[in-house]
Amino acid sequence: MHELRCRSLGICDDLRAELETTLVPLELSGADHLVCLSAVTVTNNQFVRFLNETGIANHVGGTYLWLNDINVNLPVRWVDAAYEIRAGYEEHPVVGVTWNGAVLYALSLGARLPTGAEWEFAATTGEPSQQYPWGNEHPSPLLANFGQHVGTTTPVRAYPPNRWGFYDLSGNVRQWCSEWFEDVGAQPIMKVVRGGAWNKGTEHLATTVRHGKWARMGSDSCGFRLAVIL
Amino acid sequence: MFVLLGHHRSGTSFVNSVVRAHPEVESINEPLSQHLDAFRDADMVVWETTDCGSDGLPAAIAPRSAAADFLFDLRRWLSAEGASRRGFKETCLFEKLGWLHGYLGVTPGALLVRDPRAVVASVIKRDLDRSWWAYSERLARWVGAGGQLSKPVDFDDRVAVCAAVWALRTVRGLDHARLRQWPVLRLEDLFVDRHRYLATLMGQLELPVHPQQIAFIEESWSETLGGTYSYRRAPESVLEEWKETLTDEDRRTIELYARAPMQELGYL
Repeated sequence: MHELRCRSLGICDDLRAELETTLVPLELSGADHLVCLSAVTVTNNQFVRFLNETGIANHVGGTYLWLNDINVNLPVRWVDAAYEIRAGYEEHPVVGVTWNGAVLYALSLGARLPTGAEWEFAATTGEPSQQYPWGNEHPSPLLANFGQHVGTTTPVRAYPPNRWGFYDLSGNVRQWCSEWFEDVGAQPIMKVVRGGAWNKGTEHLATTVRHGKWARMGSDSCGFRLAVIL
Repeated sequence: MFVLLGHHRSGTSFVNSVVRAHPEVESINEPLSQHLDAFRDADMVVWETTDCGSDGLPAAIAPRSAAADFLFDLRRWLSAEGASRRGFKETCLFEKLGWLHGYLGVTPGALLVRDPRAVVASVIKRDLDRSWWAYSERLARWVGAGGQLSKPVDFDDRVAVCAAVWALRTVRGLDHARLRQWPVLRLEDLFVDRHRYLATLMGQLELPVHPQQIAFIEESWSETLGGTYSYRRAPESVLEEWKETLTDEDRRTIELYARAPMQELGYL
C-alpha cells in the first residue's frame, strides 16, 4: 500500500484534497481524537480516476478485485485500456466496489472506512431514538432514493442532507463499514453494510438496520464513504 | 444451502428478493454470471463433473486463480454454519448443473419458470438477445459443439432463436428438477396464489413463509416503478404486457420451438 501511495502521489493527493472539503466531524464523547466522516459517498468519477491514474490491476485471474467490471448493468466499464463511466453517472456514488476495493481506496488517501457505530452516530445525529437520518418522518421519495422510485442511483447531493450535513446516509447506496458482520468460524467473510439503497425497500432505511455482505461482492447497490482521524 | 435457477427475464430477481425478505435467509443475486469471466463467457457451454480436475474446477477456471478463490469462498459462505439459510439465484447454470452438484454437493433448489412468450417478448423488447446475451452466437456455438436442436433454427430470426434457447435451457432444467426433486414454480402461479407458491418454495429451505415476505410482495405489486430489473411491477404489467407486443406469427414461432416444455409446464 505504501508503494502504491508513493507511485501515485498526485492522484491520491488530489483525491485526499477533495475528501477534506467534505469532512464532517463527529463529536464522540470520550474520544481522544477527532473522527470525521465524509459528507458524501465516493463517486464514480473519483474511483475511476483512482483506478486509471494508479494503473492498479483490477481484473485478474478471471474476476475483478476492486470494482466489478463484469456485470454489464453497472455504470463503469473497461473500454480501450481504461475505465469509462456511463454518461451522466460521473457524480453518482460508485457501486460494484468490493470491501477490499473500498479499503484500498481509503488507505491510499490516508483514510479508512467508518465503523458501524460511527456511521450510526452520523445517521442519527447523535440521537439514538432518531429513526432516519432526516428525523422520524416516514420515508418518502422526496427524502431519499429508495424502493425503485427513481430506478437507479442519483448524484450524491441530490437529496437533502441530514442536520449535520451528511448526504445519503439512508438511500441511494448501502455503504461498507469496517468491521466483520459475523463471527462464524475462524474465517468470517461478511462485512457490515449500513443504509438503504435505490433498489431496496423502506425496511432498509432505518438508522438501526445493519446487514452483512460478502466482502468480495461488488454489487449495484453498495458503495462507501470515508472516515478520517484528525 | 440452496440454488434458485431460472431463465433470463423470468422474474427470478423478484423471486430471489421475496426469498431474502425472510429474516432467516440470505441469497445472492447471480454470484457466478455477474462476477466471473468463465460463467459469462461460457454461457451455453456444458460443464460436467467429469470435465473437472480434482479440485472440482472446470478447465475454464485456472487453479489457484482469483476466480478459483472466489468459487472457494462462495462455497465456504454457502456452507458456513450459522443462523440463516444461504443460497443464490442464477440464470446461467442450465448447462452446468452437473458441475454445480459436483462442486457444491447435492443442494436443495427450485426451477423458476415463466411463459416463454412473455420471456421472449421481454428479451426482445430490451434488445438483450443481441446485446448482453448474444443468443445467436451462443446458440451457434452450442450447435457447433454438437448440441442438438429439436428443429433447425434460422440464426437471424430473433424470435426463433430466443424460443430455441428458452426451450433448450428449460428442458435441461426440467430434467434436473426431476432428478433432484426440485419443485418447478411458474411465475404466473405466484400471482394466483402467493401463499401456496411461497409455501412450496420456502419448503425447500425448510422454513415457513414469513409475513415480511408477503408484505414485500404486496409493496412490489402496488405500482410499476424502476428499470429493467426493478422488483416493483404491477401484476398486469407482468402477466399481460407481452400479449400486446407479440404478433400471431411470433406466437406460432415460439410454440413451434418450445412446444414440448410449454405443454409440460401447462402453457399450452
